[in-house]
Amino acid sequence: MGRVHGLCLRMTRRPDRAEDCTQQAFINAWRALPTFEGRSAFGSWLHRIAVNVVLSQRPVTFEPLPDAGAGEVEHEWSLDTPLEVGAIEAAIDALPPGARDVLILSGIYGYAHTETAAMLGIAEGTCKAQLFRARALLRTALGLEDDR
Amino acid sequence: MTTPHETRRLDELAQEIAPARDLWPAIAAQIEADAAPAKARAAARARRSFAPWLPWAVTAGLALVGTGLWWSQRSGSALDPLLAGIGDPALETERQRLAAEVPGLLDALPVEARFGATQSLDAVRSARSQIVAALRRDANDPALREWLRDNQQQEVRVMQAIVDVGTQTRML
Repeated sequence: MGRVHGLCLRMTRRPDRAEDCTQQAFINAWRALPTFEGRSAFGSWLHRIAVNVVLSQRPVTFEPLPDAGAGEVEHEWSLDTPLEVGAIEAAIDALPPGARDVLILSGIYGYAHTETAAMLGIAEGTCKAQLFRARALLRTALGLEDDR
Repeated sequence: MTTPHETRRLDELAQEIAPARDLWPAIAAQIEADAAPAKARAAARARRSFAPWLPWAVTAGLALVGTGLWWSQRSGSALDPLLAGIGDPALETERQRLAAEVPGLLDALPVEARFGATQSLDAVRSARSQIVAALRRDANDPALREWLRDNQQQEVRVMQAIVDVGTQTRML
């Protein structure tokens, strides 16, 4: 319950919506239980359902897509100054929805790009580009030096 | 791919955040509501068809005691070790007692009522086998364990209803 609610809360940023989405995710999971084939862990399957619920309840917005080539660039950046978790949470909250979703699923919940892209219904390249964008925005928001 | 520092920082954020209130009652209510129309239709069919089928039901009930005995032997089998730690032991005892009693009474029901009752029982038992199958893949998942407990309660409720109606049928 906590893992699903945590995911919903981070994606919706509103406790009331997160609770509604968590409930709906479990109800949908109950209805879809016969389709659970065990190819993935039950937790991942449940997360995928929760992501679908959150996305279906989110108003459609036209967010500019990140530079398609940006995701190909990988570079190191350090976090020398310890930061408060609250500051990181606030910076994540302030990210645009697309970038935030990818960062939450990949960065916090540890899903691979393939899984994250499948959950969000986007191309893997878009997922990489969104993660790159999220990290750049996070660096700026947290006032970190860019070590490019 | 994330850098070691970033990963470490993001990993420090809690993956689990408990909701401020208990969400299970609302989830259970909705699941129950999903099943309610089917139960209501079965109950309505049972009420409509109760009187015309009464003589048949009494005869059939007596004739099919053997089936009941066979079923009760099946349902008395040892509890799966996977499920031993899940659910209320007292409820599980009650479930097994009812499971032994239901077949004879089920056969005593009017045919349409029996059809509805069998459908309800099949639905709840089918759900149970799906939950158990999922538990075999992920035995410690709290949601699955909770669903198994809910399912145990639902099966007891369905069987108790069959026993109540079946007992009345036999008394008439």
